[in-house]
Amino acid sequence: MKKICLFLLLLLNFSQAFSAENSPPDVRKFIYNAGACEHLGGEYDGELPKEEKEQIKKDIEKYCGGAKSQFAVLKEKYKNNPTLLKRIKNNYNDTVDSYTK
Amino acid sequence: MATENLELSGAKWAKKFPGSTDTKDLSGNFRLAVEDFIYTMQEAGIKVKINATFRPSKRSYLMHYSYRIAKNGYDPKKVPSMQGVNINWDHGSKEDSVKAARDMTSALDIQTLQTKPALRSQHNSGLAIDMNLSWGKTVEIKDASGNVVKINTLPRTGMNKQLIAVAATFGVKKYNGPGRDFPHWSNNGR
Repeated sequence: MKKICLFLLLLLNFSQAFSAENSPPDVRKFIYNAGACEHLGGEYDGELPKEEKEQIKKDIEKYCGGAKSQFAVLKEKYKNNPTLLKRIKNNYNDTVDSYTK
Repeated sequence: MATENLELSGAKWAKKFPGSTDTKDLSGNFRLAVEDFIYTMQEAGIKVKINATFRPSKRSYLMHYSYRIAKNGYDPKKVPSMQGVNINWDHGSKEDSVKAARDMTSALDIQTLQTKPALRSQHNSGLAIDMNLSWGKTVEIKDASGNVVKINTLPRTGMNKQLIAVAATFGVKKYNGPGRDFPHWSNNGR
């Protein structure tokens, strides 16, 4: 039983890694931006020095803004590819969704 | 919790759960790793300026929900309570609740942020530190095994690859996730 579970776990990891590597470049870029955006959402604090706050704000604009505009395009572009669409939606996190210009 | 025991939201909440810039507020082994790494950097002549270590989850909660009420139209009645934070987000009218949340976002200096602050980060677990590092010329630094490493490459900041490798021997990992975060180090690179 243990061996079967281990095999399934490895298979799952392999298929996830495989699908990530084989996503089109625009989807990979979106996933990258969305991940960066999510990290930055947890980094900002008004108590930080001014320079660091400004850098985070600039990066939020770049990565969150980038991911949000990419999402709209990719959702339409890959609407007939359920696997990719699922992958795109799974990476569209709260921090990206909350972004406003 | 009965609302009569709660204190209405507003600017005064911004100072209640401050973050730390002290390594003593980091968690367990990561604290020891960071303190050893900082010590060895200072011995080598590297300037270390710590910007942030531990951030209480309660502070993140206040930032997150004040932002959502003030900027995302979130219903103050729906904010989940958090143990140890006796705050009442609902002032009885939407207008007053939103105004109080706006006052909080100003006091927390998050009012111009373009996305909501996250509820969780490595800082909440005491497993991350933001620090600016700088030095003026080639330095020699000891790694965790006591080997001397000459750092003679650029940049002379926390983004230096030789320094990042030395830090890893202590268990302090430079941010290696998507995007960039120059001052950020943690237990796992995130």
